This record gives sequence, structure tokens and C-alpha cells, in this order.
Amino acid sequence: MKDGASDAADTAIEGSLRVDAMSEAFVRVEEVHKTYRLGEAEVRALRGLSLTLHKGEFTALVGSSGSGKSTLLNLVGCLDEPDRGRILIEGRDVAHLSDEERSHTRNRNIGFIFQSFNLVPVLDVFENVELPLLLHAELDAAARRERVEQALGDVALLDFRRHWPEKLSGGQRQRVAVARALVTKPLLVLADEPTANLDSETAAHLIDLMVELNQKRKVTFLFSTHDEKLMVRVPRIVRIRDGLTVDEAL
Amino acid sequence: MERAWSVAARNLRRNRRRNLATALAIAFGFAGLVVIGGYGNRVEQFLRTNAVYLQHSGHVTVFLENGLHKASAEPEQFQLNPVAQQKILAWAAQDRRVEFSARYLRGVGLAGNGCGTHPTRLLGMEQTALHRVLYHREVAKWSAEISRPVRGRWMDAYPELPQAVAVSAGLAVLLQKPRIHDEAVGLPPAPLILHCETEQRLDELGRDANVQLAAITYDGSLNAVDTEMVATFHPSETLGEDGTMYTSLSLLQTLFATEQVTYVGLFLHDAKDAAAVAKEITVALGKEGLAIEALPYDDERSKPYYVGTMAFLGAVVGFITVLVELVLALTVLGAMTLTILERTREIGTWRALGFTRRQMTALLVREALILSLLGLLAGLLLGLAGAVAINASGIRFAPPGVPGTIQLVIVPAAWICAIQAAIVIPGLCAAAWLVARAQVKRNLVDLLTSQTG
Repeated sequence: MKDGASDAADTAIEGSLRVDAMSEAFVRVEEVHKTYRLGEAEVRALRGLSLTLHKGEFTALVGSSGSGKSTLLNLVGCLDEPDRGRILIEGRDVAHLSDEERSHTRNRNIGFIFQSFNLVPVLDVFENVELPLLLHAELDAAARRERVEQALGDVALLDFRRHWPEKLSGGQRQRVAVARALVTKPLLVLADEPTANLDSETAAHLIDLMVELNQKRKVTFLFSTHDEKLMVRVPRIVRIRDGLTVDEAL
Repeated sequence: MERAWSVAARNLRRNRRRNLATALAIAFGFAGLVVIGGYGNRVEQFLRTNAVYLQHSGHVTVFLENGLHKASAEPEQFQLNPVAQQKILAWAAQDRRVEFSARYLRGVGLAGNGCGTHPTRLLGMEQTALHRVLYHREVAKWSAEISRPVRGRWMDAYPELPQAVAVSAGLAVLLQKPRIHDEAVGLPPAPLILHCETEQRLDELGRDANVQLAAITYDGSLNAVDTEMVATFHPSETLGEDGTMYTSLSLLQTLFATEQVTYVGLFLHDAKDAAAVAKEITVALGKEGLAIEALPYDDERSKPYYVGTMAFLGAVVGFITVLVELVLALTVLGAMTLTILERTREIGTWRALGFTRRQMTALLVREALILSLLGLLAGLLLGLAGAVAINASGIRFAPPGVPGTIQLVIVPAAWICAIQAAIVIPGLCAAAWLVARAQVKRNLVDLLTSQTG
């Protein structure tokens, strides 16, 4: 869907985002700070973290629970705003966009894969994958169908298109989520602990699938995990501890 | 958003029991409004029919200027003479909005039985007009019971009896006249000199339907006529029950020795034209040099009882509508709060995929709208069924200000139901909007990490 508000958001985004011509990096996280309040306590989730992702890269964020992985993904995914610092996607600072602009950026540029799959139970597999495309007014029903079928084909679930999410296994549900994340042809796919609810074999297959799609579609992947066994399958690993990157391995 | 309605409808099926209960609450509430509105409609039509037809005033009552208040005290100066009458009738005859017009003469006199007299209000009317009024479709539809005589037949059924009159039921009792003309036929005549001070009085008075009518003529003389009571009736206002008589116009003009009438009643095809007709005839006849006072039926000066009752009724129905609306809005508020809380993480997912707060709010309000429409539809059917049941049960009640009882009839009107729905639906959507808006405004990360939905 693209209404007047979305058009306005488009214009605002074009006008307000600065293109950083100096950088060839695709995603740059610069000195980002984020503090949460949990009751009386303050939790400093990120303490000046910096990170660079290059186009088409497949990167795993590794760290213990509470290390700041999810916070970083939320900020890069325009789900939240940093207290300080900049987040540049293709040179555009997305850290301080309005809510409508962030919605538009998420829909057009970013795909999400969640730990709990987050499929909509009243929509079947096809409709779940099609959901973000409903905001693409330029696509008619036939074009959407073509995109959805391609995405479902990529995750080998074309035959399940009219199944309801509740009838699928965990691995199948997460593959639907992968298809939904890729169907808009985003620049970046963010996956927060996508294997946490899967058995080890299914988890390994999912990572293999994501790596394969990363290579096939040239989409940048950033995913978080605390499962060290999966690291062998990932080209680049970034370790986080106490809100800071501590190690990179290629 | 494409498919938004379908998604909203599917979401409603997720918690069928709660949504069914909410829809039923809306249905019962709206059914109540349909019945209340139907009662209000029935009362309005009943009172309007009484005010226009059974009080023999017409939709527009045309007096000589200041005639409304002064015609009784100074009849010669403030009643309509034959020339004025003809001008009014001629204007009415050429206006397509006027169905028919009729002349009326009002006065006061004494009704006597040979032993005593009672003051009475007199209304003289043309017999053709009486017939048209009493057999009018509006009267048959809305006030048939009141339009029928308590006993006997109206004067228009006795063309051979120019002195035929109808006497209010209470006055007939006061006059101790138990029989109307048809019931007294064949009885031995009462003696010329009645035994008013003895027990025989009741028997002698009951042998005929004769009522003497006495009044002061406009030139100050005392005049009297013999009349024949052909019917008794309940006047359309309680105040007139003990002292009202209807006569022919010619009989009353003879009694008062005048050719004048008090007013001309204009009966219209459509009541909505009353104000315009009143205004136009005033202007038109004013140009001809005739100053008149034309009052529509909903003018408080001529029909204070009708206007006051309708204002009260409107306030009561409006208050009940608002009350029901509030209860229904709270019901929807509660149901939507639970529904939305259960789907917190799902709302976060939609937002993460790029749906704006406004789009999400609209999606959730759609659910409330569908639920409301289903509830209203069921409520409409339930209300209509309730109206049929009430009408069939034959409940009778005494309407305020009207003598006797009438059947409780509920007549739902499409336009009233539409107005009530137009009040209820936005209220319910507003309730849903409040809940949805509060939820979608929450931090997106909080939504996505919620333990529900």
C-alpha cells in the first residue's frame, strides 16, 4: 500500500537522509549507545559499539544473553532508536527517522526473521509471505503472486502455499519467515536467534539455506546466535560482550 | 490496505466466544434502541395525527391576525368573515401541497338536558370535512381507536338530521344521557315537563338523546337550539372530556347568529410542508390586504401539548440512546482491550514488516466495525421481532393527556434506526480506536518481545 502518508515519508526520507559518499561500507554502526530502564535499574545495552557490514556479507553476531546482540539488531532494523551514535545504511543515517519513515524503510529495505517465527495465524503460508508486499502499491496481484511463489520456491515450500502456519513444523515455519523476509527484495536481512526454537539439525539446515540465499540473492545477512556449533557454517563472526564488539573472525 | 477487511473478519473468528458475546451485547442493546425508537415513532405519529386531524386543526391553522388569542373574547372583530374565508379557501385550492381545507367555528355555550346545564366547548365543522378527517388514511393508521366514537356514529352519517351533535363521553354522563339517538329510537317519549327533583328523572332523561344548547350570540342575545346526540366520543385531550361538543358548522353559526368562522384548517399531503405553507399563505394573503395568522401544527403557540410532549419524548429517547451507546462502547472497549492484548506480539510483527501505526489502528478498528455491524444487524432483527411480539400481545396503556387507553404499538421507522445506528457505530469504532491507538503507539521492541500473541 502506498498512500499519501507513504509518499510524504518517501519524500522526507529522500530529503533527510544523508548519503555518506566517503564510505563503501553497506551498513555502518558508529559509536552507538543504548540504555534501557528496567524498573529502578539502568541497563547499558550498547556502550559505543561500532560495526561495519559490507554488501552481500553474511555475518553472525555471537554473544551471551544480555550482551547487546538483540539491541544492535533492533537499532539496525529501525525498530528502535539509539541514544547516541549513527547508523548508516548505504550511507543514509536511519537512527533518527520519524516513525512513518522508519516503517517505510523497514518495509522497503529490511527483512526480518524472528526467533518465534512470528507468522500471522489467520493468514496461510502464501498470504504470510505476501503480507509485506501489500504495502507495495506498484505491484499488482499477479506481480505479487510471482514474487511470493519465487520466494516460496527458494525455501522449498511452494507446495505448502495454502497451508496454515499451525499445521507446519518449526523448521517449515522458519522457512516461511525466511521467504517473507526476502520477498520484498530487501538490502538487508536481520535474523534474531532464528535457530533458537529449532532442533540442531533443522537449525543447521536453516543456516545453510540462509547462506545459500545470501550467495544467490546477494542480500546482506546479519543474524544473532549463541550457538557455537553453527559458527562453522558462517563466513564472518562478530563477537559482542557488554555492549561492545570484542572480536571479529573471517 | 488490500485484504484488510478479510483479515479483520478472520481475526474475529479467533476468539469466537468472546466476540459472539460482544456481538450479542451490541445486538440486545440495539434491539432495545429499535424498540424505544419504534415507540417514540408511534407516539409522535399518534400525537401528530391527534393534533392535526382529531383536534380538527389541520397541518396549518389559519386565523385572522391575533385570532388565536382574541377570537374567543372578541369574535366579531377577530374571526374570519365570509370574504376572508373565501380568500383562504381559494389560495388553498390552488396549492398542490394542500390536500383539503375546512372551516371551523369555535365557541362556548351551555349544554342542557331539561333539568340542568353544563358549560361546554363547541366546535362546528363542515360535515364533508368531518368525514374526510375521520376516514383519513393517517387517522386509520395511527389513531384509529381515538377516532371512533365511544357509542353511535359521527354526524356525517345522519345527513337527514341537521341538529345531530357528538357529545364528549364525560359530558354525556354529566347530562345523564345514557342513550344516543340510535338507541333511543322506539322508546316512549319523555314527558314535556320532567320530574327533575324525583327518582323518575334518570328514566325520563334516558328516553331520548335530546340535548339543548344555549349560547350568547355575537350581538349579545341569548339563543338556544335543540340538538340530537348521535354519538359520544373521547376528545383527543383529557381536558375536554367533560365538556366538548361537535356540531355542524351551520348549526353553530345559527346558534351564534353569525356567518364567521374561527379558523380555516389546511390539511396537507405532507406534514413537512406545514411551515412553508404557513409562511407562504401569510405573505400571499397579506399582499391581498388580508392579515392572517397561519400556525403550523408544530408551533408551540397553537399546539403546546404536542410540542412539549415531543420535546420530552425526544429527550428521553435521546438519553436512553446515549446511555445504551455508552454501555455498548464500554463493552467493545473491554472486548477490544483483551483482543489487542492477546495479539501484542503480532501487532509488533505487522509493524516490523512496515505497517504504520495508522494502518495497524485502521486494521483493528475494522474488526470492531465488522463486529458492530453484525451486532447491529442482529439487533435490528431482534428489535423488529420484539416489536411484532409486543404488538401481538395487545398491551394497553393510557397515554398522557389523552382520555381512555390505547394499545401499545411499536412502529420502528427506518430513518430512526438509521440515526441510532449512525450514533452507535462511530461510538463503538471510537472505543476500538482508543484501545488500538494506545497499543500501536507502544515501543516496537516492547511489542515484539511481549509474551502474548
